[in-house]
Amino acid sequence: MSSIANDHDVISSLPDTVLCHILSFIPTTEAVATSVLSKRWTHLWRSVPSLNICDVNLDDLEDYCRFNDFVYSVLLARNNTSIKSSIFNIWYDDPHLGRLGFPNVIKWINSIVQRGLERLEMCVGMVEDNLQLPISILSCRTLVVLDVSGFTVKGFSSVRLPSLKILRVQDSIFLNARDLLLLLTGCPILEDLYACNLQSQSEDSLSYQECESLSLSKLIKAQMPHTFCHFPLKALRNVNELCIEINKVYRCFDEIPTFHNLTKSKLHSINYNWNLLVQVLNHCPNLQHIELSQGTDYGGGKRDNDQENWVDPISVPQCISLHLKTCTLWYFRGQQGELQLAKYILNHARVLQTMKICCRDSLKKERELSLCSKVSPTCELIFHVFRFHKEESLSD
Amino acid sequence: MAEEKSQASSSKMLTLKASDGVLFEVELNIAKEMKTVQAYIDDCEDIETIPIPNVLGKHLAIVIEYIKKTNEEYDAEFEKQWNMDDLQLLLLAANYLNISGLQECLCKAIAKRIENKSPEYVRKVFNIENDHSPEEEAKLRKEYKWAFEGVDKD
Repeated sequence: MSSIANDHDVISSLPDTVLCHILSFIPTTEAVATSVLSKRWTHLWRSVPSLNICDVNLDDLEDYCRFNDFVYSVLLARNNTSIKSSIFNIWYDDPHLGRLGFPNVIKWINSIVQRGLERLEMCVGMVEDNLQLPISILSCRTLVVLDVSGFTVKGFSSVRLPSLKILRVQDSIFLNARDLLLLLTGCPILEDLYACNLQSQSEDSLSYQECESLSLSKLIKAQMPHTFCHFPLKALRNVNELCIEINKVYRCFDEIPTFHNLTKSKLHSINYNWNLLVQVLNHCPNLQHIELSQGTDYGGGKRDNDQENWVDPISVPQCISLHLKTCTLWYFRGQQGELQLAKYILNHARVLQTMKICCRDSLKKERELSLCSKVSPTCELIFHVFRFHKEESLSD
Repeated sequence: MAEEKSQASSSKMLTLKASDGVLFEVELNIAKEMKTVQAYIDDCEDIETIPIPNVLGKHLAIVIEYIKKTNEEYDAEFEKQWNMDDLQLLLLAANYLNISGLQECLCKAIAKRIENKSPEYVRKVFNIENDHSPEEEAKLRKEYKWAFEGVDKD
């Protein structure tokens, strides 16, 4: 049955646009190399609607020069087909090469963002320092997906990304919390946000007006692990899924919105602020799946001396009594407040299916929790003991 | 009257006839995902058997199954089942039948299998005959030197 393909060149009978589409998924070097396959393929690569500069590691000047020449010649030799998607994955192993080479990257980016770019993935770094994100990216009207990591994001005054639906920013530095907000304000139709390990150089908090200014009405998913700067929860009120360092991004007197659509949430960095935790739970009426961690997902939190002990809320948060199906407590140390929280949930979560308690050593309080009454007849209590490599100093 | 007609059309079955004579009965809404078939139906409303001259029964079966089951999970696993020859023929079928989702899935799958491979390997899996003269090929390799360095030995 496959004898047709065995002897015949099936692929070349497909239209040019289909062949170019296949080539758009591979690194540009390989697309260019297809020019030698046969006469049919000699010029196809010039119409491939992508520019994929992948896995380039530059540590000597000669290499760098040849790489530079290559990218410029590709851009010049291409025809007018717009570049719809682009990947830049470059590492300068020498800061001198980085300072020499990066201005060229900026020029390449500037030329492609003007002409219909829809997807951009950029991870360009060098030893010793972060490079600055080319700001022309922040006014690319056609961009739908942006994925950047390892940059310093500064030097911009306005952001216009009217088509952006997916934003991933990782391991990057902002001057202050305001700049992060400014970035997001320019993404009015954003649906999916991943903001991991973003650092702010300034400790300043946002003003009330600044907090009010951000509204991400189309946002469905927000994941912000290891991002500790001040951030308005109100902006995230429509999400279905949320991961956030709650006691770090929240500042006193911030408004906690009602998260009507939130069904799945990971709250990290609770830092034993039980009052805040209860307030948040009271504002998540439909929450079904929750994961709680006193510290980050690297380890347990530090207990401040004046943190209060757990006090049972006046009325049971609606999500706990009506909707909560799974609950996971990470880095559980059997501290009094944690125990009382676990018991409270077991006592009041009527449709709870699984309570999972993850701890470093086998827990002395295991028995106490196992014996505690569970209001949900189908609730399974699981203890998960693990060793982890990164340990924060535990000051309990 | 209009209601009856729309009820009838939603459960209406069509027959597709592959190039090797194999017949497939499919629901109208499945067949409509193939834009080529849709165009055929638009032209001749009462047709019941539609010839698909370019596609073998084996591949038409896979295409129909894809249309019925496609979702993120299914697509991720879909391409793993087929060898390179089948992938190419399926892409030819998807292109002829004009099914954009399947075309996209197959283009990505084929790209994945030629990624990090030398031009010699790509020629082999695609059965491409090299009609470049040695001089022409040498010239191309020289012009974009960077593109020809550091590729996996197959």
